[in-house]
Amino acid sequence: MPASTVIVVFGSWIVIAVLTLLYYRVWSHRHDWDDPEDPR
Amino acid sequence: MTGQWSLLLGFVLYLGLMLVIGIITVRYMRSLDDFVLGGRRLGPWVAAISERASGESAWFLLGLPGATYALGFQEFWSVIGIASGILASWTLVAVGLRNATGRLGALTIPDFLAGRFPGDGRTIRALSTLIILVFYTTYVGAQFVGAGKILNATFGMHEAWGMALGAVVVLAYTMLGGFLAVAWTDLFQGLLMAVVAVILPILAFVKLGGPGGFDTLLAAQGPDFLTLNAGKTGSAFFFGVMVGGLSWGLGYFGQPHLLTRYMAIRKVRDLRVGTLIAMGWVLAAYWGAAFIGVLGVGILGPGLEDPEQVMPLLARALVPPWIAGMLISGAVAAMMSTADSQLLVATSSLTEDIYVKLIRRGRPAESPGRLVFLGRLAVILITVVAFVLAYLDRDLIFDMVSYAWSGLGSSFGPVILLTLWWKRMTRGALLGGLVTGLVSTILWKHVPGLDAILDIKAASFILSMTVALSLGWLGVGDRVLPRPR
Repeated sequence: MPASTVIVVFGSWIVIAVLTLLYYRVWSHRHDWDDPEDPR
Repeated sequence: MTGQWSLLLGFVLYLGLMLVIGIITVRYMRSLDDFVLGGRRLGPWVAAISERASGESAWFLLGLPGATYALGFQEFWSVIGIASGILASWTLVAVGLRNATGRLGALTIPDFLAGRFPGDGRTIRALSTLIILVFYTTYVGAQFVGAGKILNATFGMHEAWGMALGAVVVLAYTMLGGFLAVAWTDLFQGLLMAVVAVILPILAFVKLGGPGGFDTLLAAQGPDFLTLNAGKTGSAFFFGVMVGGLSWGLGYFGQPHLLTRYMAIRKVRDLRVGTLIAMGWVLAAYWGAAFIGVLGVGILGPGLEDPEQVMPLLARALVPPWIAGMLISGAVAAMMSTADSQLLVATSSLTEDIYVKLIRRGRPAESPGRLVFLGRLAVILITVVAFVLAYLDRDLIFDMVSYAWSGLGSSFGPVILLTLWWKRMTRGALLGGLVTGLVSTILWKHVPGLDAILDIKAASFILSMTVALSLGWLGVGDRVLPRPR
């Protein structure tokens, strides 16, 4: 199998996994987490 | 017990379980809010897996493996586009939409859009509902076609009877249990789909003899099967193969049956964990589903009459019949979990947006029980229309889904993103974006040659976004209201 195919198919998996973790650990803290139905 | 009966037993058990969930959830349904949004009571696991199960239709275990079986690794551009689109939708749309719809008390996407701009929102509701009905009848119909193909490949049942059986089961539990039945059956179905997409390629890989056997068999398919450009270069590769595949991801911003999962989550904060769960599902299942088709070439040989039957045929070739029955139920699960969610969105628009907000405007509220009854009638009506349209015009699942996906994604996606993120968004830009998405998708499907210039999904999204941005920039119509309270 061509190296370019292997790099794109499996590399994209790794990139998306890293972006997901970055969102969860870092970027998601920028969101407005106010709960409109929460009486507090 | 013969193999065929073992297959059938696994399948019937699965269908029975779906109906039981439908019956159990009936008791939790007292109002239209419960019927269309489950009273916003979903936890992060149910919301995230339900969003994934609804997002991946018969396309996921039939259309995509069929495409990788027929075309090879070039279809991985679709996988990459889809995974990126899902991540972008959870991170850019979910929180803003859940917050805004919670504050507005909006139950549907037309409800949300109408509530964010000054005025009574009648035109916005009517146009949005029209778009939903036009594309969801095709989309639901594609799921029934999927049921026909699976039952034909598995039990030799005539495709039309398979379509009818799938339609009746989905109709029954959606009508009974509404959103909660759909979300809870989705949880089970989503997990089953992931198991199939992970287990089946692993079994096939082992059967082929690991990396060595895999390479030998794939090399026999020729170089175009193994490369990501399929032998094309320049603009033919860039626009035809790469953009065409990646553009699936653009559709995720505008699929009402997925966006309602964000809206139904109990606490806004749960969306953070929900993102992790949904993306975990994507990373486990999506690459696996694509490999089913590639590995299917090695096990079944090339030249299947219908490539979209590669998954059920591969399951039958690799595992004992009763396990194959359960794995094939995964494909039926993919079909049902999408069809039920879509039926519910179309139903919600008819009852909440057309009947409650447009027809009964200003008059005393209907009793909750009567509205649920009308919701159930609408489910029957839309199922029948979708079934008849699909029966009369049976196309490849891939093409039917591509059309409906493009129509919904390009009509709603750009305007939802802009309404959430752009303070200069206007009512004129919203209507312009909706109309452009609808018209361009229909044009791209019916005018020969347009799809060769640019893929339908990319073209209609770009056109709709361009029109909405231009009208917003020019200030056509009232501006989007400040943050809803």
